[in-house]
Amino acid sequence: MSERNLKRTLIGLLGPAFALVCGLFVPALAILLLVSTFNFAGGRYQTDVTFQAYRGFFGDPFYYHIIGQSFLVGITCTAICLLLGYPTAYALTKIRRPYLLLISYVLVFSPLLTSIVVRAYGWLVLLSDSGITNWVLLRLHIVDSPVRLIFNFTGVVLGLVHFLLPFTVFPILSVLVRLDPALREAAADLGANRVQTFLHVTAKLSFPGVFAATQLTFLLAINAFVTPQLLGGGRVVVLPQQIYQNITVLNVPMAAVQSLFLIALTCAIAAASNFLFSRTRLSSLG
Amino acid sequence: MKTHFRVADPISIVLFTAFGAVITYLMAPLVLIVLNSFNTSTYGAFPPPGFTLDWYANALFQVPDFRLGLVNSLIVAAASTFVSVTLGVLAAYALTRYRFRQRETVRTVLMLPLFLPSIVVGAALFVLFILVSLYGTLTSLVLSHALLNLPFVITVISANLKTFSPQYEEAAMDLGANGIRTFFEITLPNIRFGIMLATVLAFVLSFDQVDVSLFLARPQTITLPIAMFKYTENYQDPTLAAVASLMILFAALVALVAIWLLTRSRLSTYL
Repeated sequence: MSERNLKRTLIGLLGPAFALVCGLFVPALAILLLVSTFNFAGGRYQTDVTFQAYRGFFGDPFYYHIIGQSFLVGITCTAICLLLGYPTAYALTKIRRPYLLLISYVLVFSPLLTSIVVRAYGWLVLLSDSGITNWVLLRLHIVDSPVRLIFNFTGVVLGLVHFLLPFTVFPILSVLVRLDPALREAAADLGANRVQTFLHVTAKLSFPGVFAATQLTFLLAINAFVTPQLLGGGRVVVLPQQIYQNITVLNVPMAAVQSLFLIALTCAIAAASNFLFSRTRLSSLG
Repeated sequence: MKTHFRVADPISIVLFTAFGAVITYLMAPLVLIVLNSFNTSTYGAFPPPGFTLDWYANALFQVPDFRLGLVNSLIVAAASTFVSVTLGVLAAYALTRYRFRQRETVRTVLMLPLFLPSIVVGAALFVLFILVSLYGTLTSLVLSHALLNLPFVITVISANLKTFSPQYEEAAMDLGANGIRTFFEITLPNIRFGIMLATVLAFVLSFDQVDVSLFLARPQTITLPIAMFKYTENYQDPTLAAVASLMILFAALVALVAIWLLTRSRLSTYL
Protein backbone atom coordinates (compact mmCIF):
# COMPACT_ATOMS: atom_id res chain seq x y z
CA MET A 1 0.00 0.00 0.00
CA SER A 2 1.35 3.41 -0.90
CA GLU A 3 2.29 5.88 1.82
CA ARG A 4 -0.59 8.20 0.89
CA ASN A 5 -3.16 5.43 0.76
CA LEU A 6 -2.03 4.11 4.16
CA LYS A 7 -2.40 7.55 5.65
CA ARG A 8 -5.91 7.93 4.26
CA THR A 9 -6.95 4.47 5.52
CA LEU A 10 -5.56 5.15 8.99
CA ILE A 11 -7.32 8.50 9.25
CA GLY A 12 -10.57 6.82 8.22
CA LEU A 13 -10.19 4.03 10.78
CA LEU A 14 -8.70 5.90 13.72
CA GLY A 15 -10.12 9.36 13.12
CA PRO A 16 -13.55 8.88 14.76
CA ALA A 17 -12.17 7.28 17.95
CA PHE A 18 -9.37 9.82 18.12
CA ALA A 19 -11.89 12.67 17.67
CA LEU A 20 -13.99 11.39 20.58
CA VAL A 21 -11.01 11.22 22.95
CA CYS A 22 -9.32 14.43 21.75
CA GLY A 23 -12.53 16.37 21.33
CA LEU A 24 -13.95 15.51 24.74
CA PHE A 25 -11.35 14.17 27.11
CA VAL A 26 -8.38 16.36 26.31
CA PRO A 27 -10.29 19.70 26.41
CA ALA A 28 -12.05 18.61 29.61
CA LEU A 29 -8.71 18.05 31.31
CA ALA A 30 -7.30 21.30 29.87
CA ILE A 31 -10.27 23.25 31.26
CA LEU A 32 -9.80 21.56 34.62
CA LEU A 33 -6.18 22.71 34.64
CA LEU A 34 -7.24 26.26 33.77
CA VAL A 35 -10.08 26.46 36.32
CA SER A 36 -7.77 25.21 39.08
CA THR A 37 -5.97 28.59 38.95
CA PHE A 38 -9.18 30.63 39.26
CA ASN A 39 -10.62 32.42 42.26
CA PHE A 40 -13.68 31.14 44.13
CA ALA A 41 -15.89 33.76 45.79
CA GLY A 42 -19.57 34.31 46.45
CA GLY A 43 -20.65 30.77 45.60
CA ARG A 44 -19.14 30.70 42.11
CA TYR A 45 -15.76 30.87 40.44
CA GLN A 46 -14.36 34.06 38.89
CA THR A 47 -12.08 34.02 35.87
CA ASP A 48 -9.16 35.78 37.56
CA VAL A 49 -6.00 33.78 38.12
CA THR A 50 -5.12 33.79 41.82
CA PHE A 51 -4.05 30.19 42.59
CA GLN A 52 -6.24 30.57 45.68
CA ALA A 53 -7.36 26.92 45.61
CA TYR A 54 -3.76 25.65 45.50
CA ARG A 55 -2.88 27.64 48.61
CA GLY A 56 -6.12 26.51 50.24
CA PHE A 57 -5.46 22.84 49.52
CA PHE A 58 -1.76 22.62 50.33
CA GLY A 59 -1.94 25.02 53.28
CA ASP A 60 -4.74 23.32 55.22
CA PRO A 61 -3.95 20.43 57.63
CA PHE A 62 -7.56 19.23 57.16
CA TYR A 63 -6.65 18.03 53.66
CA TYR A 64 -3.53 16.24 54.93
CA HIS A 65 -5.86 14.32 57.22
CA ILE A 66 -8.03 13.35 54.21
CA ILE A 67 -5.01 12.30 52.14
CA GLY A 68 -3.81 10.26 55.13
CA GLN A 69 -7.22 8.62 55.41
CA SER A 70 -7.18 7.79 51.67
CA PHE A 71 -3.82 6.05 52.14
CA LEU A 72 -5.00 4.23 55.27
CA VAL A 73 -8.08 2.91 53.44
CA GLY A 74 -5.95 2.00 50.39
CA ILE A 75 -3.24 0.17 52.36
CA THR A 76 -5.70 -1.72 54.59
CA CYS A 77 -7.86 -2.85 51.66
CA THR A 78 -4.86 -3.85 49.52
CA ALA A 79 -3.35 -5.92 52.35
CA ILE A 80 -6.65 -7.76 53.00
CA CYS A 81 -7.24 -8.25 49.26
CA LEU A 82 -3.80 -9.85 48.79
CA LEU A 83 -4.32 -12.08 51.83
CA LEU A 84 -7.68 -13.29 50.46
CA GLY A 85 -6.89 -13.00 46.76
CA TYR A 86 -3.76 -15.13 46.54
CA PRO A 87 -5.32 -18.28 48.06
CA THR A 88 -8.43 -17.68 45.92
CA ALA A 89 -6.39 -17.51 42.71
CA TYR A 90 -4.30 -20.49 43.83
CA ALA A 91 -7.42 -22.56 44.63
CA LEU A 92 -8.82 -21.73 41.16
CA THR A 93 -5.73 -23.33 39.56
CA LYS A 94 -6.23 -26.50 41.65
CA ILE A 95 -9.80 -27.28 40.61
CA ARG A 96 -9.77 -30.19 38.16
CA ARG A 97 -13.43 -30.77 37.26
CA PRO A 98 -14.43 -28.46 34.35
CA TYR A 99 -17.95 -27.68 35.58
CA LEU A 100 -16.74 -26.91 39.13
CA LEU A 101 -14.08 -24.65 37.64
CA LEU A 102 -16.65 -22.79 35.53
CA ILE A 103 -18.97 -22.30 38.53
CA SER A 104 -16.03 -21.08 40.65
CA TYR A 105 -14.97 -18.58 37.99
CA VAL A 106 -18.53 -17.28 37.75
CA LEU A 107 -18.84 -16.94 41.54
CA VAL A 108 -15.51 -15.11 41.88
CA PHE A 109 -15.98 -12.69 38.98
CA SER A 110 -19.76 -12.22 38.78
CA PRO A 111 -19.84 -9.44 41.41
CA LEU A 112 -18.22 -7.31 38.67
CA LEU A 113 -21.45 -7.48 36.68
CA THR A 114 -23.60 -5.98 39.43
CA SER A 115 -23.69 -2.25 40.01
CA ILE A 116 -21.40 -0.86 42.68
CA VAL A 117 -24.46 0.82 44.26
CA VAL A 118 -26.17 -2.58 44.52
CA ARG A 119 -23.15 -4.09 46.27
CA ALA A 120 -22.75 -1.16 48.69
CA TYR A 121 -26.47 -1.44 49.52
CA GLY A 122 -25.98 -5.19 50.11
CA TRP A 123 -23.41 -4.37 52.78
CA LEU A 124 -25.77 -1.85 54.36
CA VAL A 125 -28.35 -4.65 54.71
CA LEU A 126 -25.83 -7.23 55.86
CA LEU A 127 -24.10 -5.08 58.47
CA SER A 128 -26.96 -2.96 59.84
CA ASP A 129 -27.79 -3.05 63.57
CA SER A 130 -30.75 -5.37 62.93
CA GLY A 131 -29.03 -7.23 60.06
CA ILE A 132 -27.85 -10.80 59.78
CA THR A 133 -24.25 -10.21 60.95
CA ASN A 134 -25.37 -8.70 64.23
CA TRP A 135 -28.03 -11.40 64.60
CA VAL A 136 -25.37 -14.11 64.27
CA LEU A 137 -23.01 -12.32 66.67
CA LEU A 138 -25.80 -11.94 69.26
CA ARG A 139 -26.97 -15.55 68.83
CA LEU A 140 -23.46 -16.88 69.35
CA HIS A 141 -23.13 -14.60 72.43
CA ILE A 142 -20.02 -13.01 70.97
CA VAL A 143 -21.56 -9.61 71.71
CA ASP A 144 -24.31 -8.50 74.12
CA SER A 145 -25.72 -5.64 72.04
CA PRO A 146 -25.55 -4.90 68.29
CA VAL A 147 -22.16 -3.61 67.13
CA ARG A 148 -21.79 -0.68 64.76
CA LEU A 149 -20.39 -2.20 61.58
CA ILE A 150 -21.39 0.42 59.04
CA PHE A 151 -20.87 4.18 58.78
CA ASN A 152 -17.31 3.72 60.04
CA PHE A 153 -13.89 2.49 58.89
CA THR A 154 -14.87 -1.21 59.23
CA GLY A 155 -17.86 -0.80 56.93
CA VAL A 156 -15.84 1.04 54.27
CA VAL A 157 -13.09 -1.61 54.31
CA LEU A 158 -15.56 -4.56 54.18
CA GLY A 159 -17.42 -2.99 51.25
CA LEU A 160 -14.29 -1.91 49.37
CA VAL A 161 -12.53 -5.26 49.71
CA HIS A 162 -15.65 -6.83 48.22
CA PHE A 163 -15.46 -4.45 45.25
CA LEU A 164 -11.67 -4.83 44.81
CA LEU A 165 -11.15 -8.58 45.30
CA PRO A 166 -11.90 -9.71 41.69
CA PHE A 167 -9.34 -7.13 40.50
CA THR A 168 -6.76 -8.63 42.90
CA VAL A 169 -7.48 -12.23 41.92
CA PHE A 170 -7.34 -11.69 38.15
CA PRO A 171 -3.66 -10.60 37.70
CA ILE A 172 -2.43 -13.28 40.14
CA LEU A 173 -4.54 -15.94 38.44
CA SER A 174 -3.31 -15.03 34.96
CA VAL A 175 0.31 -15.56 36.08
CA LEU A 176 -0.42 -18.76 38.02
CA VAL A 177 -2.18 -20.48 35.08
CA ARG A 178 0.81 -19.76 32.85
CA LEU A 179 3.36 -21.35 35.24
CA ASP A 180 4.98 -24.42 33.74
CA PRO A 181 3.96 -27.45 35.89
CA ALA A 182 7.29 -29.08 34.95
CA LEU A 183 9.07 -26.60 37.25
CA ARG A 184 7.08 -27.79 40.26
CA GLU A 185 7.64 -31.42 39.33
CA ALA A 186 11.37 -30.74 39.01
CA ALA A 187 11.42 -29.24 42.52
CA ALA A 188 9.58 -32.31 43.84
CA ASP A 189 11.99 -34.65 42.06
CA LEU A 190 14.89 -32.82 43.67
CA GLY A 191 13.41 -33.63 47.08
CA ALA A 192 11.47 -30.46 47.95
CA ASN A 193 8.22 -31.00 49.84
CA ARG A 194 5.04 -29.15 48.81
CA VAL A 195 5.62 -26.21 51.15
CA GLN A 196 9.19 -25.77 49.95
CA THR A 197 8.10 -26.07 46.32
CA PHE A 198 5.44 -23.43 46.88
CA LEU A 199 7.80 -21.00 48.64
CA HIS A 200 10.79 -21.40 46.33
CA VAL A 201 9.09 -21.95 42.97
CA THR A 202 5.41 -20.93 42.80
CA ALA A 203 5.52 -17.91 45.14
CA LYS A 204 8.68 -16.50 43.53
CA LEU A 205 7.51 -16.98 39.96
CA SER A 206 4.08 -15.50 40.65
CA PHE A 207 5.62 -12.29 41.99
CA PRO A 208 4.87 -10.29 38.79
CA GLY A 209 1.18 -11.17 39.21
CA VAL A 210 1.20 -10.17 42.87
CA PHE A 211 2.90 -6.92 41.94
CA ALA A 212 0.32 -6.11 39.24
CA ALA A 213 -2.50 -7.03 41.63
CA THR A 214 -1.10 -4.81 44.41
CA GLN A 215 -0.73 -1.83 42.10
CA LEU A 216 -4.18 -2.17 40.54
CA THR A 217 -5.93 -2.81 43.87
CA PHE A 218 -4.30 0.13 45.63
CA LEU A 219 -4.96 2.57 42.78
CA LEU A 220 -8.61 1.49 42.52
CA ALA A 221 -8.93 1.75 46.32
CA ILE A 222 -7.70 5.35 46.60
CA ASN A 223 -9.88 6.37 43.65
CA ALA A 224 -13.08 4.72 44.93
CA PHE A 225 -16.02 7.00 45.61
CA VAL A 226 -19.38 5.20 45.92
CA THR A 227 -18.42 2.70 48.64
CA PRO A 228 -16.84 5.20 51.08
CA GLN A 229 -19.70 7.64 50.39
CA LEU A 230 -22.47 5.13 51.16
CA LEU A 231 -20.76 3.05 53.87
CA GLY A 232 -18.60 5.73 55.51
CA GLY A 233 -21.51 7.73 56.89
CA GLY A 234 -19.43 10.91 56.73
CA ARG A 235 -16.96 9.56 59.29
CA VAL A 236 -14.56 8.21 56.68
CA VAL A 237 -13.85 10.90 54.10
CA VAL A 238 -11.44 10.22 51.25
CA LEU A 239 -10.19 12.46 48.45
CA PRO A 240 -12.75 11.45 45.73
CA GLN A 241 -15.58 12.39 48.11
CA GLN A 242 -14.00 15.82 48.59
CA ILE A 243 -13.97 16.33 44.79
CA TYR A 244 -17.67 15.44 44.58
CA GLN A 245 -18.49 17.59 47.60
CA ASN A 246 -16.73 20.63 46.11
CA ILE A 247 -18.45 20.20 42.73
CA THR A 248 -21.88 20.11 44.42
CA VAL A 249 -21.16 23.46 46.13
CA LEU A 250 -19.72 24.71 42.79
CA ASN A 251 -16.26 25.29 44.26
CA VAL A 252 -14.84 24.12 40.95
CA PRO A 253 -11.29 25.51 41.48
CA MET A 254 -10.86 23.44 44.65
CA ALA A 255 -12.36 20.34 43.00
CA ALA A 256 -9.96 20.90 40.08
CA VAL A 257 -6.91 21.17 42.35
CA GLN A 258 -7.93 18.00 44.19
CA SER A 259 -8.56 16.23 40.86
CA LEU A 260 -5.12 17.19 39.59
CA PHE A 261 -3.60 16.06 42.88
CA LEU A 262 -5.37 12.68 42.55
CA ILE A 263 -4.11 12.28 38.97
CA ALA A 264 -0.57 13.19 40.06
CA LEU A 265 -0.79 10.77 43.00
CA THR A 266 -2.05 7.95 40.74
CA CYS A 267 0.72 8.54 38.19
CA ALA A 268 3.42 8.91 40.88
CA ILE A 269 2.43 5.65 42.60
CA ALA A 270 2.25 3.79 39.27
CA ALA A 271 5.64 5.15 38.16
CA ALA A 272 7.38 4.61 41.51
CA SER A 273 6.12 1.05 41.88
CA ASN A 274 7.06 0.22 38.28
CA PHE A 275 10.56 1.55 38.96
CA LEU A 276 10.91 -0.50 42.16
CA PHE A 277 9.56 -3.56 40.34
CA SER A 278 12.11 -3.33 37.51
CA ARG A 279 14.91 -2.86 40.08
CA THR A 280 13.91 -5.96 42.07
CA ARG A 281 13.44 -8.03 38.91
CA LEU A 282 16.90 -7.11 37.66
CA SER A 283 18.59 -7.76 41.00
CA SER A 284 16.86 -11.14 41.37
CA LEU A 285 18.01 -12.14 37.91
CA GLY A 286 21.57 -10.88 38.40
CA MET B 1 4.88 -37.96 43.37
CA LYS B 2 1.49 -36.62 44.26
CA THR B 3 -0.49 -36.44 41.08
CA HIS B 4 -3.90 -37.34 42.46
CA PHE B 5 -6.12 -35.01 44.43
CA ARG B 6 -6.65 -36.50 47.88
CA VAL B 7 -9.56 -35.53 50.08
CA ALA B 8 -7.66 -36.00 53.36
CA ASP B 9 -4.77 -33.77 52.25
CA PRO B 10 -4.51 -31.09 55.02
CA ILE B 11 -3.08 -28.36 52.78
CA SER B 12 -5.93 -28.77 50.29
CA ILE B 13 -8.49 -28.72 53.12
CA VAL B 14 -7.14 -25.40 54.42
CA LEU B 15 -6.94 -23.97 50.89
CA PHE B 16 -10.46 -24.93 49.92
CA THR B 17 -11.92 -23.85 53.27
CA ALA B 18 -10.41 -20.41 52.66
CA PHE B 19 -11.74 -20.50 49.09
CA GLY B 20 -15.24 -21.36 50.35
CA ALA B 21 -15.06 -18.49 52.86
CA VAL B 22 -14.09 -16.04 50.12
CA ILE B 23 -16.94 -17.23 47.85
CA THR B 24 -19.37 -16.84 50.78
CA TYR B 25 -18.08 -13.32 51.41
CA LEU B 26 -18.45 -12.41 47.72
CA MET B 27 -21.96 -13.84 47.40
CA ALA B 28 -23.37 -12.84 50.83
CA PRO B 29 -24.46 -9.26 50.00
CA LEU B 30 -26.13 -10.36 46.75
CA VAL B 31 -28.03 -13.20 48.44
CA LEU B 32 -29.05 -10.95 51.34
CA ILE B 33 -30.39 -8.30 48.93
CA VAL B 34 -32.68 -10.83 47.27
CA LEU B 35 -33.87 -12.15 50.68
CA ASN B 36 -34.41 -8.61 51.91
CA SER B 37 -36.54 -7.66 48.91
CA PHE B 38 -39.28 -9.95 50.32
CA ASN B 39 -38.82 -8.75 53.91
CA THR B 40 -41.83 -7.08 55.59
CA SER B 41 -39.51 -5.19 57.95
CA THR B 42 -38.74 -1.65 56.78
CA TYR B 43 -35.31 -1.80 58.40
CA GLY B 44 -34.33 -5.09 56.80
CA ALA B 45 -34.46 -6.92 60.14
CA PHE B 46 -33.10 -10.46 60.28
CA PRO B 47 -34.69 -12.99 60.55
CA PRO B 48 -37.45 -11.51 58.35
CA PRO B 49 -40.77 -11.24 60.25
CA GLY B 50 -42.82 -11.91 57.10
CA PHE B 51 -42.99 -12.24 53.33
CA THR B 52 -44.22 -9.48 50.98
CA LEU B 53 -44.07 -8.35 47.37
CA ASP B 54 -44.91 -4.75 48.30
CA TRP B 55 -41.37 -3.49 47.74
CA TYR B 56 -41.49 -4.64 44.13
CA ALA B 57 -44.80 -2.81 43.63
CA ASN B 58 -43.26 0.22 45.32
CA ALA B 59 -40.15 0.12 43.12
CA LEU B 60 -42.10 -0.32 39.89
CA PHE B 61 -45.01 2.04 40.49
CA GLN B 62 -44.37 4.42 43.42
CA VAL B 63 -40.90 5.85 42.85
CA PRO B 64 -40.99 7.73 39.52
CA ASP B 65 -37.20 8.21 39.49
CA PHE B 66 -36.65 4.48 39.12
CA ARG B 67 -38.85 4.25 36.03
CA LEU B 68 -37.45 7.43 34.46
CA GLY B 69 -33.95 6.26 35.41
CA LEU B 70 -34.49 2.87 33.78
CA VAL B 71 -35.69 4.45 30.52
CA ASN B 72 -32.78 6.94 30.48
CA SER B 73 -30.25 4.23 31.36
CA LEU B 74 -31.47 2.01 28.52
CA ILE B 75 -31.31 4.87 26.00
CA VAL B 76 -27.84 5.96 27.15
CA ALA B 77 -26.49 2.39 27.32
CA ALA B 78 -27.81 1.50 23.83
CA ALA B 79 -26.58 4.72 22.18
CA SER B 80 -23.17 4.79 23.88
CA THR B 81 -22.63 1.08 23.14
CA PHE B 82 -23.38 1.69 19.46
CA VAL B 83 -20.91 4.61 19.34
CA SER B 84 -18.09 2.94 21.30
CA VAL B 85 -18.35 -0.41 19.48
CA THR B 86 -18.40 1.21 16.03
CA LEU B 87 -15.46 3.50 16.76
CA GLY B 88 -13.66 0.79 18.74
CA VAL B 89 -13.85 -1.85 15.98
CA LEU B 90 -12.41 0.57 13.41
CA ALA B 91 -9.64 1.73 15.76
CA ALA B 92 -8.74 -1.81 16.90
CA TYR B 93 -8.50 -2.89 13.25
CA ALA B 94 -6.05 -0.08 12.48
CA LEU B 95 -4.00 -0.78 15.63
CA THR B 96 -3.63 -4.54 15.01
CA ARG B 97 -3.46 -4.74 11.20
CA TYR B 98 -1.26 -1.77 10.23
CA ARG B 99 2.26 -0.80 11.19
CA PHE B 100 2.90 2.92 11.49
CA ARG B 101 5.25 5.13 13.42
CA GLN B 102 2.87 6.73 15.92
CA ARG B 103 0.98 3.50 16.66
CA GLU B 104 1.91 3.20 20.35
CA THR B 105 1.23 6.90 20.94
CA VAL B 106 -2.23 6.59 19.36
CA ARG B 107 -2.96 3.47 21.40
CA THR B 108 -1.95 5.24 24.62
CA VAL B 109 -4.16 8.23 23.85
CA LEU B 110 -7.16 5.98 23.14
CA MET B 111 -6.60 3.99 26.35
CA LEU B 112 -6.20 7.17 28.44
CA PRO B 113 -9.80 7.31 29.80
CA LEU B 114 -9.12 3.96 31.49
CA PHE B 115 -6.11 5.13 33.47
CA LEU B 116 -7.44 8.29 35.04
CA PRO B 117 -9.62 8.23 38.18
CA SER B 118 -13.23 8.13 36.96
CA ILE B 119 -14.33 10.67 39.56
CA VAL B 120 -11.82 13.11 38.02
CA VAL B 121 -13.12 12.35 34.52
CA GLY B 122 -16.62 13.10 35.85
CA ALA B 123 -15.60 16.45 37.37
CA ALA B 124 -13.70 17.47 34.21
CA LEU B 125 -16.57 16.55 31.87
CA PHE B 126 -19.02 18.41 34.13
CA VAL B 127 -17.08 21.65 33.68
CA LEU B 128 -16.70 21.09 29.93
CA PHE B 129 -20.38 20.31 29.29
CA ILE B 130 -21.49 23.44 31.18
CA LEU B 131 -19.20 25.54 28.96
CA VAL B 132 -20.53 24.06 25.71
CA SER B 133 -24.17 24.11 26.96
CA LEU B 134 -24.62 20.33 26.81
CA TYR B 135 -24.94 19.96 30.59
CA GLY B 136 -28.13 18.13 31.56
CA THR B 137 -28.66 16.48 28.15
CA LEU B 138 -28.71 12.75 27.40
CA THR B 139 -26.17 13.51 24.66
CA SER B 140 -23.59 14.45 27.29
CA LEU B 141 -24.14 11.10 29.04
CA VAL B 142 -23.97 9.14 25.76
CA LEU B 143 -20.69 10.81 24.72
CA SER B 144 -19.14 10.35 28.18
CA HIS B 145 -20.07 6.67 28.42
CA ALA B 146 -18.82 6.04 24.86
CA LEU B 147 -15.50 7.68 25.84
CA LEU B 148 -15.18 5.54 28.99
CA ASN B 149 -16.05 2.28 27.16
CA LEU B 150 -13.76 2.81 24.18
CA PRO B 151 -10.64 1.28 25.87
CA PHE B 152 -12.57 -1.89 26.80
CA VAL B 153 -13.96 -2.32 23.28
CA ILE B 154 -10.53 -1.79 21.71
CA THR B 155 -8.96 -4.37 24.09
CA VAL B 156 -11.58 -7.06 23.34
CA ILE B 157 -11.62 -6.50 19.56
CA SER B 158 -7.81 -6.34 19.31
CA ALA B 159 -7.61 -9.67 21.18
CA ASN B 160 -10.13 -11.22 18.78
CA LEU B 161 -8.34 -9.86 15.69
CA LYS B 162 -5.18 -11.62 16.90
CA THR B 163 -7.01 -14.98 16.96
CA PHE B 164 -7.23 -15.19 13.18
CA SER B 165 -4.50 -14.70 10.64
CA PRO B 166 -4.40 -11.62 8.38
CA GLN B 167 -3.62 -14.07 5.55
CA TYR B 168 -7.36 -14.59 5.01
CA GLU B 169 -7.75 -10.87 4.41
CA GLU B 170 -4.69 -10.84 2.14
CA ALA B 171 -6.13 -13.78 0.16
CA ALA B 172 -9.41 -11.88 -0.37
CA MET B 173 -7.48 -8.84 -1.58
CA ASP B 174 -5.38 -11.01 -3.92
CA LEU B 175 -8.61 -12.37 -5.38
CA GLY B 176 -9.66 -8.83 -6.23
CA ALA B 177 -11.81 -7.68 -3.30
CA ASN B 178 -11.16 -4.10 -2.23
CA GLY B 179 -10.35 -3.11 1.38
CA ILE B 180 -13.92 -2.27 2.32
CA ARG B 181 -15.41 -5.48 0.88
CA THR B 182 -12.68 -7.55 2.59
CA PHE B 183 -13.45 -5.84 5.91
CA PHE B 184 -17.18 -6.58 5.68
CA GLU B 185 -16.99 -10.08 4.20
CA ILE B 186 -13.88 -11.53 5.86
CA THR B 187 -12.92 -9.49 8.94
CA LEU B 188 -16.32 -8.76 10.51
CA PRO B 189 -17.71 -12.34 10.30
CA ASN B 190 -14.52 -13.64 11.92
CA ILE B 191 -14.70 -11.28 14.90
CA ARG B 192 -18.49 -11.46 15.38
CA PHE B 193 -18.25 -13.08 18.83
CA GLY B 194 -15.71 -10.49 19.94
CA ILE B 195 -18.04 -7.74 18.73
CA MET B 196 -20.94 -9.31 20.63
CA LEU B 197 -18.80 -9.64 23.76
CA ALA B 198 -17.66 -6.02 23.47
CA THR B 199 -21.31 -4.98 23.01
CA VAL B 200 -22.41 -6.83 26.16
CA LEU B 201 -19.47 -5.40 28.11
CA ALA B 202 -20.02 -1.81 26.93
CA PHE B 203 -23.77 -2.05 27.63
CA VAL B 204 -23.25 -3.36 31.18
CA LEU B 205 -20.51 -0.82 31.95
CA SER B 206 -22.71 2.03 30.76
CA PHE B 207 -25.81 0.65 32.50
CA ASP B 208 -23.90 0.47 35.83
CA GLN B 209 -21.90 3.71 35.44
CA VAL B 210 -21.98 5.89 38.60
CA ASP B 211 -18.83 7.98 39.09
CA VAL B 212 -19.18 10.04 35.91
CA SER B 213 -22.99 10.02 35.55
CA LEU B 214 -23.29 11.45 39.06
CA PHE B 215 -21.82 14.75 37.82
CA LEU B 216 -23.78 14.86 34.57
CA ALA B 217 -27.29 13.62 35.40
CA ARG B 218 -29.97 16.19 36.23
CA PRO B 219 -33.52 15.41 37.43
CA GLN B 220 -34.79 14.87 33.86
CA THR B 221 -31.74 12.88 32.71
CA ILE B 222 -31.28 10.79 35.89
CA THR B 223 -30.02 7.23 35.24
CA LEU B 224 -31.03 4.14 37.24
CA PRO B 225 -27.77 3.78 39.25
CA ILE B 226 -27.91 7.49 40.14
CA ALA B 227 -31.55 7.20 41.22
CA MET B 228 -30.52 4.22 43.37
CA PHE B 229 -27.51 6.07 44.77
CA LYS B 230 -29.65 9.06 45.78
CA TYR B 231 -32.33 6.76 47.24
CA THR B 232 -29.71 4.94 49.36
CA GLU B 233 -28.39 8.24 50.67
CA ASN B 234 -31.87 9.18 51.90
CA TYR B 235 -33.79 5.98 52.67
CA GLN B 236 -32.96 2.47 53.82
CA ASP B 237 -36.19 0.56 53.11
CA PRO B 238 -36.21 -2.61 50.92
CA THR B 239 -37.63 -0.77 47.86
CA LEU B 240 -34.01 -0.57 46.82
CA ALA B 241 -33.58 -4.29 47.47
CA ALA B 242 -36.38 -4.93 44.96
CA VAL B 243 -34.69 -2.80 42.28
CA ALA B 244 -31.30 -4.33 43.15
CA SER B 245 -32.73 -7.87 42.92
CA LEU B 246 -34.02 -7.15 39.42
CA MET B 247 -30.56 -5.82 38.49
CA ILE B 248 -28.90 -8.95 39.93
CA LEU B 249 -31.26 -11.08 37.81
CA PHE B 250 -30.25 -9.01 34.78
CA ALA B 251 -26.55 -9.45 35.66
CA ALA B 252 -27.01 -13.22 35.95
CA LEU B 253 -28.48 -13.34 32.44
CA VAL B 254 -25.61 -11.20 31.15
CA ALA B 255 -23.11 -13.56 32.81
CA LEU B 256 -24.61 -16.52 30.93
CA VAL B 257 -24.40 -14.69 27.60
CA ALA B 258 -20.82 -13.55 28.33
CA ILE B 259 -19.66 -17.10 29.18
CA TRP B 260 -21.19 -18.43 25.97
CA LEU B 261 -19.48 -15.67 23.94
CA LEU B 262 -16.11 -16.17 25.66
CA THR B 263 -16.10 -19.89 24.85
CA ARG B 264 -17.33 -19.37 21.29
CA SER B 265 -14.81 -16.61 20.47
CA ARG B 266 -11.91 -18.55 22.09
CA LEU B 267 -10.35 -15.17 22.87
CA SER B 268 -10.03 -15.59 26.65
CA THR B 269 -6.39 -16.60 26.13
CA TYR B 270 -5.59 -13.37 24.27
CA LEU B 271 -7.11 -10.83 26.66
